Amino acid sequence: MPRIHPSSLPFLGAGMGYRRAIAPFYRRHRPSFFEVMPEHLAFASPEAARSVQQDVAGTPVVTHSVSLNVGAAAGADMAWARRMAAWGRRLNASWATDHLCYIGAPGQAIGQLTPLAYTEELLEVVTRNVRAIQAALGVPFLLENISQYFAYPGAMGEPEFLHGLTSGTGCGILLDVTNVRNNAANLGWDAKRYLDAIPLESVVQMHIAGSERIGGKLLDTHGAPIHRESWRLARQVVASSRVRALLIERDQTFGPLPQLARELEQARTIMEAAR
Amino acid sequence: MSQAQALQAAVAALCMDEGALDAWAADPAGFARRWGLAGPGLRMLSGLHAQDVAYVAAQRRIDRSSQLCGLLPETMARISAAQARSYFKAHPYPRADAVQEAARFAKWCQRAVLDCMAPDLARLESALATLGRGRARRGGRRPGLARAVVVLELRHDVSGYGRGARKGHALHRATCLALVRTPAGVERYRLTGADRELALRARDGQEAQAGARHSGKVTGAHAAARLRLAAAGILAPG
Repeated sequence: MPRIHPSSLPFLGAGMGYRRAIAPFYRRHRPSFFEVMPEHLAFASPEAARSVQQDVAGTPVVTHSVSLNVGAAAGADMAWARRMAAWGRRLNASWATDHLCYIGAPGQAIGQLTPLAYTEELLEVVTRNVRAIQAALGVPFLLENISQYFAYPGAMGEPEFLHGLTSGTGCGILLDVTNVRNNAANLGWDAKRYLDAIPLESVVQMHIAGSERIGGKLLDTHGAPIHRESWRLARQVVASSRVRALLIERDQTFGPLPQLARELEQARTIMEAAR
Repeated sequence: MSQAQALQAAVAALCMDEGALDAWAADPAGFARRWGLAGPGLRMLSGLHAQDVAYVAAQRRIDRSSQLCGLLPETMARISAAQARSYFKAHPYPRADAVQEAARFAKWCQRAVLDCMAPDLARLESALATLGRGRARRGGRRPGLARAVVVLELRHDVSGYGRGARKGHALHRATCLALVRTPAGVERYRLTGADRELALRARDGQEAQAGARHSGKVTGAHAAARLRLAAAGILAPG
């Protein structure tokens, strides 16, 4: 399976995750693209779903899900993949994304992005899962690195797993630089070494967000200002990849909005260097 | 079951089930073997940092509480952390569907020893969430008045308490009152113990058979229709 070529995909610039609570903010500050969660549409009332579609009309869209269960050893959620594909078509999404993790085993919903034990056996399973998802989606598919709060001793490293997965499936990477920072702080990873080791040539999109220290760990809350270390990592990735999009994730504590506007400007400036 | 599947199932148990977490902490290797793990899988599971796993488990409980607060705010305001924890122990894994999870929690409230109002509130709030979901799934139009309809207050009607009710009869068996503001003014509804059934029937379009009684002479159908409006008003996003 050939590796993904980010240059063959549209350049989307600096965007934001669509959250209906700040729709007026979007109208004023005009992100270059939106990331829409199919879950927000599939489980909303028809009026709400239509409203989202109206709000994002005329702006490029990518879809971002949390429900595919991509890393499940028992198999990904293909029924959800088909629903996600349908929403992607309705939104004319440039690509689709989910997370490199699992969210439950048969009969055991976790409701949380849970880290994978990176083994050769699991690499084979996830490769099969991703290929099936790609076939269902019909658009390029990217996988995001998650924030992790524990690690499996003796497992292969995430960069090695990502190399195997991107070369085996041609999927792209949605690199969350804040998750890189969180994992460095929580698990003692070396962020620079991590970025040097992953297949940067497969990075299509980046996420950046604020995290908060809760109970001694950096939690990926998407509810705080973006830390300067995350911005630094984003610039580093832009300088050494062909990344097409940088997205600010903000899910709660939206105010003060002028600060959010400044963060969007900062993301725009970074992506100008990538054009 | 493959080793990868066994490891994921065991880790899911550690993240969600306090009993499993305790068993693992007491004997990590024995716990791993009981989940069918051997070799590298066993070493991975037994080598996890206990504090890190406990942290994730604690965060999951916080997340589940927050989700229930979103759908059952009045109920959760009356539920202590210890009571919520009892629920999580009884049901370690959440339903993937948040509305179903709220319905299960409401059912648990009926059996648990709780604040006298919590069981009724849970039933009512869960029914409202179910109504909202049903409406969204059916693709029906929002009732025209929905935006203006708000449930102002949910409380027990204790006026009849002591008359005809056995002494010691739990207050949570009393009827529940809902004050609903509509464009026509504030209206008052008395919800019997069958309020959840009423709401579900309303969802299915069987309002005429619903058993709620308005405090005046309004029929069950009228009360159910108003409840539906209230549900739409409460749950309408944005």
